[in-house]
Amino acid sequence: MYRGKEFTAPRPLQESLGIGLQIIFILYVVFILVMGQTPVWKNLIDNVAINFLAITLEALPFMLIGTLVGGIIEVFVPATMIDRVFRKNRIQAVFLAGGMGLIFPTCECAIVPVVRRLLIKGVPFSAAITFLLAGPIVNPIVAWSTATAYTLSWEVVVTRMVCGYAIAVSVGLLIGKFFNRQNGLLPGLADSAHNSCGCLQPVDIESSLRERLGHAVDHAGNDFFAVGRYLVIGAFISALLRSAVPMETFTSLSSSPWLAILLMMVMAVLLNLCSEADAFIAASFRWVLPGSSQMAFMVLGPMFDIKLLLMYLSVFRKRVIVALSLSTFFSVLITMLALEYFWPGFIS
Amino acid sequence: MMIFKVFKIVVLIIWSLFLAWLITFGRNDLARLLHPRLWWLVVCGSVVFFIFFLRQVVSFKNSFSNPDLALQLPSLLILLLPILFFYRGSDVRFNVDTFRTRTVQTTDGSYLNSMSKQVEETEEPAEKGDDTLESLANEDLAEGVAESKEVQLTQLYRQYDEYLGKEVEVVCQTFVDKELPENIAMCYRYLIACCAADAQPLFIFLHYPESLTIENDKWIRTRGKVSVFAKNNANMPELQIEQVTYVEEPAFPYVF
Repeated sequence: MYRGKEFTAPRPLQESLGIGLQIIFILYVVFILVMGQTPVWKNLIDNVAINFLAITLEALPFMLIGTLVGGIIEVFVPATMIDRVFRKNRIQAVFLAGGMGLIFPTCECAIVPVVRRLLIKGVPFSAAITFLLAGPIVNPIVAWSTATAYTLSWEVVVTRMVCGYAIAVSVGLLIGKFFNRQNGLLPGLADSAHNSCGCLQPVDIESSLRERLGHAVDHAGNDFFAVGRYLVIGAFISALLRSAVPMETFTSLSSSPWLAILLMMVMAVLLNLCSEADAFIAASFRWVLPGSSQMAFMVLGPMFDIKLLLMYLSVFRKRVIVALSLSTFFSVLITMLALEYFWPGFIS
Repeated sequence: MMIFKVFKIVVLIIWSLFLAWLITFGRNDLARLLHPRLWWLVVCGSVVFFIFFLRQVVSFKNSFSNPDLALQLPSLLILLLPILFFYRGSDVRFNVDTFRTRTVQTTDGSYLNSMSKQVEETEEPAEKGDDTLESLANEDLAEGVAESKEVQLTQLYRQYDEYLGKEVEVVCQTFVDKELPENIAMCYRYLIACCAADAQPLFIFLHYPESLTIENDKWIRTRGKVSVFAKNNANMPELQIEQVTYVEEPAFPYVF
């Protein structure tokens, strides 16, 4: 029997645009790879290749660990516990979330999948935002790497932790005023019930441990496929900038402290460095730029860079990303200007 | 959507095998990308990818989602791009261009890096050569010390007062630049904290005789007495060398 042509709804413009951009990105990367064969581009593309591979190899496993932690949270942490800890007092929850990194150290590559799962699980929006921003800074591993980079200068470590915490809490509270799960999360995530992300079979409370572990891995795998491409795109952009933009570009423009702060913030956004490693790069400007600008680099980078920005696309609506980016950027800028004004000789 | 699941399985197994290969047979390549302290991450990544792969295979027929292949396929291809770059990355090295982009050149042509300040903070400033390109040979300390040994650049940089006047041997890459003073070259290695992306050049100066020609961007082993190169209120180690030996790149090209 002839059934006629099957009806398919036209693809939304936004989706088509997304597919188009991804294809353009793939073609561009292949083009770069081919251009690397020519003598003119060889050195630059060689550098891009090393940086791209290095950033990916370092960041990807952290992200995978993050997805596993997220999967375990999804399946094993009861919603009642989330209710008990975070839902009683939302303001208190924000302050608590700002320090969670001290107990659960999470780097910036792993934080997005973890926060994605926490949000699905029912953690309040503002608390999740706060953990997203503070987690990669306010944690013992980053404190140690900062101390190492700055030859055990504890004032640098404490200032970084305090600034990270204060800015994350402020931005979390601010974003929480205007956005919530319904108007802030992507439709698929916002609609999720507390115990299920909606993409898989709900987990029965009486399921065996093996079944539950299987579900946790399923969730983790899905998170990897949802977030991984953004990590790769971010790593590539970062590698390109790291290879093409000389350090001198920044130092030659650092004629005034506020300009230096701004430049280092731009550099933090562009370089996408891991929060474990960024202190070493900041310290390389120790004799060139004011301390406040180095601090701006170390505080903004783990909160807001190209890689994170792209990964946010797997969790938040675009308006939230814009609000989050702007509020984070300006909070860091104001804080660092204040630091420069009140403590001009900081990191001499 | 069986084909989509197959693509996912392929991506997972490729990544798992790639990381497993890196940590076993590809260690020479891995050494140029990641700090050995973080190699456990590669093991971890390989294992997690393999677990994802196994789970995808086990639950192959239990798919509840109906993904749009046109939407998902580009994202799967993007995940494979880093491996495509490995084809190029395995043969390439950081070079002189990298050195130039990662150091700061002063207006008079000299190069500076972050370590100079640390050295300056811990040492007495040089009495001579305030702002001129002058090497200060520390004659007093040079007397009576002849023992030679290979020293890591980091060690030489951080505790160079202990080596002043002593003869040491270093293995490093050369940087010859016409902007540098006559008979002065630089010798560097990259200091990494986590991965090659954060690599910072750590360099010393080589003062060589006129009869010697040093090739640019080559790995060398050289020996000489340690003195001080003073520039822009910062002191940096300098070796007074007589000759260089060109060598293969070390298994671990970076210093930590």
